[in-house]
Amino acid sequence: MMFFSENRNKAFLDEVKKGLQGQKKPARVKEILCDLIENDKPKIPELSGMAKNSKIDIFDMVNQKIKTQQRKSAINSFAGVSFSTLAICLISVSYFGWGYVRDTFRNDADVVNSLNRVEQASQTGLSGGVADFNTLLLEDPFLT
Amino acid sequence: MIGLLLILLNTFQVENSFYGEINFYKKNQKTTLEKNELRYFAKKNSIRLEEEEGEFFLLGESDNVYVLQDINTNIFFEKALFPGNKEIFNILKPGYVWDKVSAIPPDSDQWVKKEDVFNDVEIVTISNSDTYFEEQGFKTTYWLHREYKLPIRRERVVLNEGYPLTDIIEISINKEELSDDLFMAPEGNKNYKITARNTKKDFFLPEEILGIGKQKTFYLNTHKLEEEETKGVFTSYLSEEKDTYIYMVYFQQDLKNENFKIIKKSFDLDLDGWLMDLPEITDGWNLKILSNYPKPILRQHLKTLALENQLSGSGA
Repeated sequence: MMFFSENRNKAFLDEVKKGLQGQKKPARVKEILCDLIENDKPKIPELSGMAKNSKIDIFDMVNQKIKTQQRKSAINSFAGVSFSTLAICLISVSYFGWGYVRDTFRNDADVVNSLNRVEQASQTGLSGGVADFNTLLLEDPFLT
Repeated sequence: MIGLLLILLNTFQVENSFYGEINFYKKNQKTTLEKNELRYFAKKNSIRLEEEEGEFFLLGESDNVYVLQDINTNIFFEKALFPGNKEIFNILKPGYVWDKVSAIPPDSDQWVKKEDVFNDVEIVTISNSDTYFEEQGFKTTYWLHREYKLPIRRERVVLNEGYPLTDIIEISINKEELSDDLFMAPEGNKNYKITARNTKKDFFLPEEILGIGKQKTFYLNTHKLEEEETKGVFTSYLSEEKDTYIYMVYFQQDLKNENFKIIKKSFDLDLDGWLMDLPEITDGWNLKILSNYPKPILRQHLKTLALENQLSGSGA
């Protein structure tokens, strides 16, 4: 698997080759690898020449790639979950009806409140906030 | 002579017009709950209540009108069908509460009356006695503006699990001559009425659905002097425990679904429903079911009821 696009990968390898030209193969390959694994940004004398000449910061590029991949993965996962949720909701609403689906997710107090509003409107011809106000007046000793 | 002058003065005051804001909220020991406000305009025997600009109720001795600004309609609620709005009318009617308070005898053991002056305004306060509060568990207090004969504040305290829960209503009063236009339904809007009269045909409205009894049925009719035509029907089925509801809405189809929208708004339905097809429904008409009952069961049940209705020959 390549970290970069094919073109960038090729450019990167060319850059590395160019940086390593005239240099001997590092003698301490095992140590360097261990150092690479254990430290975020190890100082590697054998690669210092390449680092000076190179415009490529390998660690930044790797980090950037990892972040991009994580972001893509998160988006794909979110899109997948959203699409599945939306599909389930649509199927549920279509099969069970909107009222059934909505009230399944509402608490009892909200359902009763909603029903009371319809009852108030049916008894008073008043709706919205006006109906709320009228409710406070019911059973008032001077008004009823 | 003095008596005549007092009567004239009283009449003058009652016919004055007022406007202001009504703030209403609930308060428990520490928190203010459900705060809300309305604007009102009052003149003679008409009241205009505004929740939002351009959307208002007009309440009067002869008609009740609710204007639905967004769809350019005037809805007249037939007064006999909606007696439950008289309270809101009475509290803003100059002299109404005042007269009731005046009629309370000074030696009443239920009420304590006081007169005070706050900021040069004479206020009459009437409140349930402490004994009454201890016995009944609730208490009402009114502060009345002596000059305008209108309430400026009302508190109702109820003991809820030992703690007081208070409903508070505050009314600001500004005295001003208001135009009669404020108390009339806008001209040019389409006029409808919510009534008990059906002019169109019979609608299939079972007495019971899934064991829940039918409540009152309302019709949406056009409101014309020469001709009145039914454009919609609303009826509800609500279980005693208030855990199951079924609303049946018939409406004559039009391009903008206007008839359905009017019924929804008139009855504060915050729910859309699903269309039901029945043999009884003629061309140009629709039936929507709004319910929290699972659609497949309810649909099947309604079809069975419709079939039984057809077989019994009682008419659709």
